[in-house]
Amino acid sequence: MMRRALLISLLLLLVVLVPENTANPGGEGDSTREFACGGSCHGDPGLSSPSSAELTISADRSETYVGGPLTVTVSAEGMELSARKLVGIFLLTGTYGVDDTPQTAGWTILSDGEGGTGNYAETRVLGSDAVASVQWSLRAPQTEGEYRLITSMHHGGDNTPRLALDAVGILISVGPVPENMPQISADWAPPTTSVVGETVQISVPTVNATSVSLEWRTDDGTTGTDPLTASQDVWSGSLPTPLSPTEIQYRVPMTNDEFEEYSAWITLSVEEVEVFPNAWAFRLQSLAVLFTALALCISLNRRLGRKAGIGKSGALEVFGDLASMPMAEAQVVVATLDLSDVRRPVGWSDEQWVHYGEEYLRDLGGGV
Amino acid sequence: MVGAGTFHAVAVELTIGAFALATAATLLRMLMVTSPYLERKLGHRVASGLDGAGLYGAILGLFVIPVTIITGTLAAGDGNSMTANKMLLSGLFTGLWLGYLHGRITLGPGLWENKALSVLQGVLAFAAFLVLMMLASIGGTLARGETLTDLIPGLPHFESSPDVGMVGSILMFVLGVAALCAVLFVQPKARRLPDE
Repeated sequence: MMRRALLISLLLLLVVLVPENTANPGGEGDSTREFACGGSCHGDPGLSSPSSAELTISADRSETYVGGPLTVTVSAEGMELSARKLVGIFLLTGTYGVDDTPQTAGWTILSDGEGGTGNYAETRVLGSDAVASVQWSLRAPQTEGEYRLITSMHHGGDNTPRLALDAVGILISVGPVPENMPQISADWAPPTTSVVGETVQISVPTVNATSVSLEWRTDDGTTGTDPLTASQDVWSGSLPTPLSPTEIQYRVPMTNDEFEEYSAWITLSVEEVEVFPNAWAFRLQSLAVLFTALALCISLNRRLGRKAGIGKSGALEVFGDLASMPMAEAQVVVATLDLSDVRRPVGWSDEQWVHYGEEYLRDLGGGV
Repeated sequence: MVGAGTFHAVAVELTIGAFALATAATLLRMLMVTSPYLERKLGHRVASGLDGAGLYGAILGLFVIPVTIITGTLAAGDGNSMTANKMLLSGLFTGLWLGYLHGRITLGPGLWENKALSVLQGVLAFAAFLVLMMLASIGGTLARGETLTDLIPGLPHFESSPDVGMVGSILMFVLGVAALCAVLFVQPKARRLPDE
């Protein structure tokens, strides 16, 4: 009774001692997430410890127009870091926990700078003194008004999930579209990912534009501008073909007689093509491994099983016949005992009589 | 609409639960064989229960494995080197547990009366458990960006997969089938051991 109580107490103690950890140090991946993170990332914001990070949010303009471009950059420095040196940065419109993403407020995210189109992007930094930076390219809402954009950041450090927040952020004024302003159509979805060696074609549907070009810059500082060719208000061209994994930022300058306008900077993430070998080849290999492992197991089982069977009732199957069994002494005894001997006790089997008969007869004072 | 990933999560829980039970029961039963003190302490009823838990845990797990593999394949999409390694390890894992089950069913519960056979069953279960850890680790890397191999020294990482080509794969498959046929049809069978 005492032992059981002790065991149950020990188990309960182990349950209580499980450390509270709501973080995912490996990250959750770039996506669209609200401030509360939908129970993922660090779970409830209240469970995170404060961060010593200094967050900075800035935009390339403070005023834009309905459907107009906006580039927002968030940078962070001075934060504690976990061993993975991973930080996740949010672009938000509030800290309600629900419906606080820019998309909910009417913004369209064209690029998150990491090859996606979400408001949450994860990035790795070299150290606490390094700067983590994410750039979003946005298209303004279809409703005029004042819009506040704020930022927050999830990261680890000292085995604790941490949260940094800039609840003030920036205020962006979205006004009416100036008459005759060159614009990109609202349904344009710019490419944000590509693979090494692939030339990315850009097609930009515009209105009110008489001249459109493609301006780009790469990680190593190379820049360029190429004119796009028009075909019924759709302007087409291509970015340089990347020969290694990199990021290319590009924007679309548009002009007419009155205005010169630019799209937001969009980031194209270029990654190495992962060539997945033929899936059927791996299925065959998997079956081959299965059969080989099974054959090995069965072989070992049979070998050991036959050995274990010797000396029990399986001896005949192993040796084929009694003559080849290593039991010469027993055969001598069998030859000297008469199985029909009247002195044999009632109920004794032949085997018992053969094995114990001689001893039994001696105990009676007789001989074989 | 529920995605294949959700079904995969459920199937994985079932698979791991069943095989964890089978592994723990098998290892404990093996320890009873190798330790007379444990044998006396736990008694025949516990021994019989552990044998049943190992047997039926393995059967349940082997029923769930195909569901796990199919949902995992559907959830993985195009696949990559890590999913390829998962495929190979799944084959090894299934082969080890089928071997365990074959031994237990053909030799009967009497195999626990033999120390060498008991140790073999224990080794098979433990080896399969290690493979399961690697599989779970790859799954963790794919789903959460984290891996157990960071914590457990000695376990390999699986960022790259062997590429032997289609011809090599066919050759491996033929050799595997040949090895299995040779064992099944050429090697003398062991008879069921009496349960004392």
